[in-house]
Amino acid sequence: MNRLPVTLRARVLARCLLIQAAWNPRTMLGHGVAYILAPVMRFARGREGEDLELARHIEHFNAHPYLSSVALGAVARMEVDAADPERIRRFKTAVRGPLGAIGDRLIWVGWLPSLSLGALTLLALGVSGPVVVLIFLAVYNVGHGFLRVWGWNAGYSNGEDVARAIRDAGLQEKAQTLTQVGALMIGCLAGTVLSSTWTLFRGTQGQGVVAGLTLVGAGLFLLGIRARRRGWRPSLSLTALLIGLIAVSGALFGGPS
Amino acid sequence: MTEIAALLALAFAAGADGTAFGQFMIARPLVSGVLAGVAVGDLALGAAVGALLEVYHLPAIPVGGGRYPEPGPAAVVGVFAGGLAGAVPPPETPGALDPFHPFLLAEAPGVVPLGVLFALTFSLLGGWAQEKARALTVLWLPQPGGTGLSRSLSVVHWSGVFLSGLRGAGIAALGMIVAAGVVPYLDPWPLSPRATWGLLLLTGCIPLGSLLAVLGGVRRLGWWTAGGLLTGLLLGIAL
Repeated sequence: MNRLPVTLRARVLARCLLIQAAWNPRTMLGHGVAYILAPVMRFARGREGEDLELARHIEHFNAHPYLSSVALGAVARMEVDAADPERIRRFKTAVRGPLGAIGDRLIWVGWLPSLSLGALTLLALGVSGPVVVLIFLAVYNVGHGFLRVWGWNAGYSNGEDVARAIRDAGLQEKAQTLTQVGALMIGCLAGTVLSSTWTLFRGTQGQGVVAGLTLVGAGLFLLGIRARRRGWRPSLSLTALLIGLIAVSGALFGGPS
Repeated sequence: MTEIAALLALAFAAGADGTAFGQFMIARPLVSGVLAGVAVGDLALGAAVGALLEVYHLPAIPVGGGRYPEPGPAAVVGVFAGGLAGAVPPPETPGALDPFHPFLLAEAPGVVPLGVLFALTFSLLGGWAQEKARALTVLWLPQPGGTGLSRSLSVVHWSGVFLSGLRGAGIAALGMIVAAGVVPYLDPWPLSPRATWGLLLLTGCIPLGSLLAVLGGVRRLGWWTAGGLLTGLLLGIAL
């Protein structure tokens, strides 16, 4: 059995960073998959067969960009082992949905919001912005990098049987834990800001203002829960509209003396 | 000029990182906002605009290839626009940042909300531009069966990184031009600093609620949120 040289594997893994660079509504990540696998096809099929064999990877494919390395590692292994092209195609079709779902849940719904909220809480507690950003980027990308490298290695080591490795890694359980951390951090940020707001509005009339703000804020929070994922677009638009109207009214009618 | 160049370079990096190269989270509004604040020499403004934008964009999760906003280059626009409205003096203690500092000590209380206004507007515009750019990508994709496919794919992908960066810088440049023309007329900001803080606080509540729903909802995660609330209150009091 041929093995990809370590340097070639590293090159292919580096190419995974560009998987979304040609995202399009027709093949989605399909052209990205072909781009990433090009060195593998040259190794496995030689210069003469490279373009011909590579062409069959230009088909619809979509997955989370970080976890796509799992599929790519497995496909690279199958290509090096000269697996039947139809089998490779069926594997890609089978694996893309779960990798997309797991990746979205683990990263976009788990890892990213948890760390974002943690960074915002640090900022609210008085840590300087550049320090917060450094901590956020460092911690986030340690996890990010680990996932890409693990995914590639798991895919390449297991080939078509990579589903077992994904199950054994407990990614869905980790995603669940991260959503709990995220919920905790939502509360933590709210509590930190609320206690700081209390300090800001301290005074004879301040307590009433803070109580009022808290009630209205809680109501808006519940509204956001009701709106679910659809809520972000109207929320952004209405916030911009509200600030714009206030700004224009200030320009037209003047501000406080 | 150096500041403008730095801001455009940051917007280029955010545009490329967000959609084409790596997704290392330079395109997150908190990161872009703070870095933009470093570029213009106003850390407090950068942190305030970046933090607020981060809260607003938390539930805008990019699942399934749907359309979502592009807040990275927009944060650059926001910091630039806020800076046009006024400056925020540096805090007395270097490295420390009272969270209300930008609101209480800014030359004008409108500095932060105007920055947020321009950032939100150009975040939505950036998302639209990104969707159109991706649709146009189909026009120059190499087709299976052609010769030199491997090389063509390399060219398309590296061009995609460059064009994504260019789109980010373009959106930022447009936003900065619009801000330069409009901000001087949006004066004075009619609300007091405390009222401004209250307003922006309230506008952040809906996105946080949406995010909790996305994470799993009150039934599954309500106690976790309540525990966090208590922890945050205690931390805020203690510190």
